[in-house]
Amino acid sequence: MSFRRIDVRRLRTLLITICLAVSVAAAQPVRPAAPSSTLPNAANSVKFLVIGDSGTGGREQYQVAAKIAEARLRFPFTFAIMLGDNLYGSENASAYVSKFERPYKPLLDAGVKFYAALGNHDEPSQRLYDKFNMGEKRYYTHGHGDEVDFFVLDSTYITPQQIDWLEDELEKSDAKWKIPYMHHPMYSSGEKHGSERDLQVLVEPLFLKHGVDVVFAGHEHFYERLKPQKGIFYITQGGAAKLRKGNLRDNSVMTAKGFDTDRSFTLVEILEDHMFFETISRLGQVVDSGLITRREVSETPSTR
Amino acid sequence: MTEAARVRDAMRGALAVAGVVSLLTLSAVAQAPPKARQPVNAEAAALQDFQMRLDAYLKLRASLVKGLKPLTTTPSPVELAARQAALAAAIRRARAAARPGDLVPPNVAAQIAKAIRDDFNRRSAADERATFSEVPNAVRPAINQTYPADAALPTVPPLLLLNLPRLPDSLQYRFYARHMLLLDADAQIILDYIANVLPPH
Repeated sequence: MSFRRIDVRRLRTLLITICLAVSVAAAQPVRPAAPSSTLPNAANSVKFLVIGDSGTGGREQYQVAAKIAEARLRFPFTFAIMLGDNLYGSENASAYVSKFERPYKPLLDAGVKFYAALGNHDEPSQRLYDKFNMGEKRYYTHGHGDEVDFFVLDSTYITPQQIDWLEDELEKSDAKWKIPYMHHPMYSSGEKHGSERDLQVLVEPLFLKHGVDVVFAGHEHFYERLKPQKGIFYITQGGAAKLRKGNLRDNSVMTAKGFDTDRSFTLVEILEDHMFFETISRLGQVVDSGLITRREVSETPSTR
Repeated sequence: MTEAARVRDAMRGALAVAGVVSLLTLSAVAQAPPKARQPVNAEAAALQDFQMRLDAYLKLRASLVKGLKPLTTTPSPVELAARQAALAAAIRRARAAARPGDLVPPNVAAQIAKAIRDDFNRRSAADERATFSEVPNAVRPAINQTYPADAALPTVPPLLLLNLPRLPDSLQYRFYARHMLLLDADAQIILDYIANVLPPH
C-alpha cells in the first residue's frame, strides 16, 4: 500500500466526516452564529437583502448602505425587501433622493430591485414610485422563481379587504416558501412598541393555515430574531438607519437573538428547503446567522 | 374556529343583517306614503346617508382627477410630488366651503365614537400605550389642511377598523391627537374629522 493510496483513503474519510458534520448541522433548524459568513452563496439560490426603518437620510443610513454595497460584492443578492419607514419626515422630491436613491445608488445601478412595504411614516403615494416596485398597491405580492412568494402587507392600515386579499393570495400560492413581510412586528420584545396583538388575532391564523415559516417586520429600531411562535420564525429588522439603543427587554423569553446597540441589515439566501441568514452591523460585524428549515421537511419542528 | 374567523364571521353576519335592514328600509321608503317615511333602523339609515356622501365625494374627486396628470407609477419623485400637490390643490378649491360633518354626519360620528370607545375599553394598558405612541400631539385639525409631513401616520388598530364603516381605497381613517380624521390618502388632506373621540393619552 503506497503513501499515495493511504492519503486518498484519509482524504475520503475526511470528506465523509465533513459531509456528515454538515448534514448534522443542516438538520438543526437554527445554527448558532458564526464569526464569518455562513451563507452558501450557491449559484442557483434566491438571494436578497432585508432592511427596515431605513429612510432617515442621516449619516448612519449611508454608513449601513456602504456596508451593504460592500457585502454585495461577495454575496450578489438581486433584490431587497424594505420593511417600511422608507422615508421619514418630509416626502418631497429631494427626500426620495437623499433618503433612498443616493444611499442605495450602487445597488440601484447594479440592477437590484427594491420591494417596499409601507410603514407608519410612509405616505400611501409611495406605491406610485417605480423604484419601490409596488405596482400601485398598498399591499401586493412578488415571486422569485417557483420557490419563493412574498406577501407584502400594509400593516399601518389592515382593512377587512386586505385580510380577504391575503387569504386569497396565500391560497393561490404554491411556492415552497411563502414569506409575508410588513412594518409592524406581530411579536416583539421591544419596550417601546411590543407585540401587535390585533395582527396575532387577524393575520397569524392565516399564516398558520397556509404553511408560512418566516415573517419579516420592522418598526422596532433594532434587530431581533424571535424563538418560533407557534412554529413560525419572526425576524424584526428595523435598524437600517434608526436605532433605539437598549430597547430590547433583557428578560424577554421570546428573544432567540437580539442586537440593539447599533444599526444592521440582514442578508438571506434560500436554497430549496433551507433559508440561510446573516445579520451584519453598521461596522461589518456578523451579529447573527443561522439556518431555518421549512417546517414541512424539518424533523424536529417543536425543538426550534 | 379561530378568533379571527369568529370576528370576521360575526362582521359578515352583522353586515348581512345591516344589508337586509337597509333593503327593508329602502323598500319601506319606496312603498310607504310620505307620512310614514321614517327609517325603520336609524343606524342603517345613517350609514346609508354616509355612503351617499362618500359616493358624492368620490364622484367629485374623479372629475377633478380627469383634469390632472394621472396618479400612476412614475420614476420621478418630482413628478410624483407635483401630481400629489395638484390633486390636493384641486380638492381644496372644490371643497373650499366644506365644514366638519359634511362627510361624516353626526349620527355616523356617534357610531364611530362608540366603536372607538368599545375598542379601547377592551384593550390592555400596554396595547393602548403602543397605539398612542404613534399618534401625533396636535392642535384641532381643520378641513382641507395637509396632514403634517413630519408626523407619523398612526396605525388604526385592525380590530377597530373591522368595526368602522368601510371606506373606499382612496380614503382612510387616521388618529390625530384625540381626533379621528377622514383623510384622502393620495392627497394627504383632511376631508373631515370627529373631534375628541379618543381617550385622553
